[in-house]
Amino acid sequence: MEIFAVLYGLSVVENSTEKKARYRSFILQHGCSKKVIKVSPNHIPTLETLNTYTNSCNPREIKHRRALLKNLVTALIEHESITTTHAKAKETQRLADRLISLTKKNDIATATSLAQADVFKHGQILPKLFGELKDRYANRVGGFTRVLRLEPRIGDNAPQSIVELVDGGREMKFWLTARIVARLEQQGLEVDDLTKFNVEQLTKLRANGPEEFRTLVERMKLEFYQNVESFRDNLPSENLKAPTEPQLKKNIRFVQRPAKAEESA
Amino acid sequence: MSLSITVLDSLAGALTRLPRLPQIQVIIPNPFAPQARPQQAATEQQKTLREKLQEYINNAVDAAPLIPTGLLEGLLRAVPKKKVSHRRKRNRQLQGDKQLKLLNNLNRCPSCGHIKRSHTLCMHCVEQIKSIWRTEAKLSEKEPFKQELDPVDQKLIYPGKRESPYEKQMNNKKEWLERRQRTFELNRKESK
Repeated sequence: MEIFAVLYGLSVVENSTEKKARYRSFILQHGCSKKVIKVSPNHIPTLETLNTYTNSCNPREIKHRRALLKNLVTALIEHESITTTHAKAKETQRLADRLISLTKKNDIATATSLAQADVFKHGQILPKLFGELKDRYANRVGGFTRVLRLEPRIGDNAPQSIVELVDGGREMKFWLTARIVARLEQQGLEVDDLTKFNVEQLTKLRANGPEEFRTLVERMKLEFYQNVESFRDNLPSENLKAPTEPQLKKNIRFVQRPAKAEESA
Repeated sequence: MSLSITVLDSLAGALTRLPRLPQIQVIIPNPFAPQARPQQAATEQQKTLREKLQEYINNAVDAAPLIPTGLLEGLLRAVPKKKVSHRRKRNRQLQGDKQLKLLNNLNRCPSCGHIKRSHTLCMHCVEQIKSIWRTEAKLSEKEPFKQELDPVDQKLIYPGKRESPYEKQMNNKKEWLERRQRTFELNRKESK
């Protein structure tokens, strides 16, 4: 036993209690402890609690993870759209949504101080967050960001996705739907229901939405679909269905809520 | 006062003048002290492998041990007991979940008509739109300040970089960089 321990670079002195202590310190360092936090519905989660929720998906050190998330969010707010792996994308989406919902608070001073903790480049990002983005999302309650799945990355085959700020300058969904509409118009086909639905959703709350979309469609025509003959045969012409609201089963019906005993008495 | 000072002075003078004796050292033999090891009679050639190993281990307790090459080969390392048979090997390598699987979640890209995975974006169209953004960003960038210089000064201040043949070879990224292949076009006549 001793011989083997020495050969493989282990110290023989270490007993089981020391090993346990080392294991515990490892857990503390890497944040892999199974800690359950109960959160009330009114509580806005801080970055630390966010980290503890998702320990299992990304077992990095907590400080490292924190810096990583901060970096991703600052990049997102700066550039309006970023491409990362899917897990990171979902994390940044959560944090970015939280930051933007902070701007809706009445007490701006505390909101800024809270936002400062989760973002780098304060001089550049905070004015944008509390100026441009606050105005942009004045009519929205949530859903300030969108995650779009991409093909897996070349090299390590990691699932990638795009995170983007809704109604921003670099909204991939906006541009792609504009491209689809341009193609349909150039082909002389009717715009299908799904695309119509998407266009409505995208332009509804955007400032100058319809006009901006129109100009983009014209630009896309010039950019990609000038020569109609070349793509006429090989492009899809199916009619795609728009998503409908989920229907309840026939035997389910809504009943008015009964009044409370105190109110009736 | 004056007397005492003089006495002290004279004493000090006298002390300095006296010859110093060496310190007295008494050596008492310690019965519990470790005895000196008897000299090893066996030479390097006469030692057995076991002795060599023991000696090596004794020496390498504190420092991280480095296993000498060739000494322990086949002695203490774990090795497979039997050859893996052809059938076992092929069974392992051609397991059901290791084979290529068919993709059933395929769609057509509504803007370019090529095949794509459902619930994902067409990478070709995404890249094209991204390239538009890139060119826009480049156009909006300010040009860096450039000082007008003599050709001689220019060459002195900015001598340029001399590339090695390897670097020159690597400059052409199209040759070596792995790129995403475009998905197949859906041919209507064939599919019908």
